[in-house]
Amino acid sequence: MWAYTLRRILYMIPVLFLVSIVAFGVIKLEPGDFLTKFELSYPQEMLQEMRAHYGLDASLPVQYWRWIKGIITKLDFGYSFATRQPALSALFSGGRLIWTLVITGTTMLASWLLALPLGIYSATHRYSPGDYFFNLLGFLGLSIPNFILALLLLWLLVVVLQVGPHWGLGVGGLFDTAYVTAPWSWAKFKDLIWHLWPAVLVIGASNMAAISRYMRGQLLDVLSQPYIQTARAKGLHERKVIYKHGVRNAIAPLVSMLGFWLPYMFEGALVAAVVLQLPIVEQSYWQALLQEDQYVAMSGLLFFSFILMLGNLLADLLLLWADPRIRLE
Amino acid sequence: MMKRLFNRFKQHRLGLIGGFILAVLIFLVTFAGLFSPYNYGTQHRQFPYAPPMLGRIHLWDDEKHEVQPFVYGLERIRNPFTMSWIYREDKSKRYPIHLFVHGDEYRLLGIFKTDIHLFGTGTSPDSPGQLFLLGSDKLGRDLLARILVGGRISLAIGPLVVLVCLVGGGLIGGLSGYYGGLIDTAVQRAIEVVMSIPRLALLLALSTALPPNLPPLARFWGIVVILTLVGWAPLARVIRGEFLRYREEEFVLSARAVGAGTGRVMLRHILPNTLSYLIISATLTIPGLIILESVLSFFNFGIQEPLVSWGMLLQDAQSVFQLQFHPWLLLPGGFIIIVVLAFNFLGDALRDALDPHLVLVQGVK
Repeated sequence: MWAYTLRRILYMIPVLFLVSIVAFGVIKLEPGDFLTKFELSYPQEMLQEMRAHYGLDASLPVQYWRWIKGIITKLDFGYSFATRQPALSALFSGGRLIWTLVITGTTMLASWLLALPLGIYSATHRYSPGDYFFNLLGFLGLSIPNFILALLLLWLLVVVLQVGPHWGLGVGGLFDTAYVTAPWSWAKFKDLIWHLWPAVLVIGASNMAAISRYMRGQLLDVLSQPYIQTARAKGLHERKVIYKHGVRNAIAPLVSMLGFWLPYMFEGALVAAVVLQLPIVEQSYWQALLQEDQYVAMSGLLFFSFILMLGNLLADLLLLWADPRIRLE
Repeated sequence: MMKRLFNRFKQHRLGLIGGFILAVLIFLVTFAGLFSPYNYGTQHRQFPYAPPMLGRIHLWDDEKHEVQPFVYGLERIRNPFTMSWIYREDKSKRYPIHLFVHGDEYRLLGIFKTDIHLFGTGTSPDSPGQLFLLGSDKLGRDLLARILVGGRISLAIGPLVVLVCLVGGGLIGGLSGYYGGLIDTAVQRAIEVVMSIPRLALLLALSTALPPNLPPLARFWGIVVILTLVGWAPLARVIRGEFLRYREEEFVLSARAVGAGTGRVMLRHILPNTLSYLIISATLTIPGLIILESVLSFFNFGIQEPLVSWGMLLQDAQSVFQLQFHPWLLLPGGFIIIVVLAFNFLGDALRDALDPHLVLVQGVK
């Protein structure tokens, strides 16, 4: 197992290297650079000098070589022209890295905690009104694109429930203006939760739907097995039959959903970051794209794929741990 | 064979509904000019943000005692308390709704010049007797017309991109699976690299590479290209797996033994066997592509004026202010949801019809 993990980690290095080439190429495809928009307002010589200073006048392979060398030798991901700091600090500025972890972690936790019981309920009450209702909800959750879900939530909060900006904001950002700089307190925490749940819903809705549908199917499969019948025939309590013999066996394949879901989480987080103005890494990436802040955008792409690969590895390891039937070749 | 397929498809009621919805929508957007009272670019500067009038059509004419649908004139006034603009029905003037009225000139199917619209009041653009069934936008353009025209791009882009992906990914994946060896390794690595970058992030980055002053149609094709660049990898992987599976099958070996060339073996012997699987994968890929295009255009990185797509229309609904005062601007989102649902239903039905034993481990999105 350790050898396997090590091999997977080592394997990530060449892939990341290729990703860095793709990221660099894609971002540099963009016509012009950060200085292009100053072409009209500054003298040419000055811009030339600046380009030379920042190495923007070199050929692309040379620029790439400098960038990757900086990353490998001193973890220097380039310079953010728009925010005038190293690219990595620009990407993670203002506690964005921590908030990204908090928000995605909360989403992950909330979607599993909510979806599993729903799936279990649907499976044990098959074809009941509740089952149909949750099924419908699940299909909607899978079919509503997350940016529309974000808009619908904004609409629900602002227009229907009237908790919009004029009534004590529940949307956008992570805190009300009064709490942003305030020290941590119970009220600030409550305010955070109040701002967090729309984001969690936008990022996690499709995942929640997928987990509960999958859980329902798995559990139904397991409950039709002969050993469940045997357990019932022996007079075991129904609760014990379902939770100890059913759920436990149904849950292992679900772990593979973790890896499958990660790319979607990124899409959801990016959308939520823009529409709900969340201060997370995806937001700095978005701003970097808007401002042609090339090195931040490249580093963002690289960072995202790194996390994606790491997440996939973790999901695979978790699957190994949860399902002892799986063997490594 | 086809009959049996069709019969099995017919049993899937949701799939039929999905197919029916798509057929109706395709028909409507093809004849967009006919089914909306105005052209999508016609501005009614006096009537910005008119609310939907679907519920304000009066059916019974109580003067003549006969059925004659009509609308009252629109009157734009200031709300005396909030000073914001609101609309009121001017009950003194009635504008009957006619069938096949003359209005804005357009080209039906892009060919026939005509000014006939299926329904409308047939009044001039500055008359109060306007019929905005789904409301109007900031320039007083009819939202129904814009949704119908926007549907052309939103509906076309998914199948179009999937087709390009199938051809390109089919070529790459097919060769890779068939030949194996070094080509296969290279293709596998390429697929892995593309799939290890989050799609939306890559898509946004690629779209910044499109020059800002590109002509509209060139921009559309540019977006098709970048969606293909993002979307080909999973399909290529599926195709590769299929070709790999059939490569050593006996019928392929015997075809090769009687001297069939590589091209013939791939196209005539392996491809037909993988076709049903490919059709299912392609259909289930379409909704995701539609959503990607919508997000891209919604973020103002995609389709731009004068072209229209549903995602682009939703840009207007982005701010809290707009949602609060002009919620009907969210309507294009409803169309996106309906189309995504319809394609999902259709894909599920096709899967059940083509191969009832097949279990695809693939997301609905």
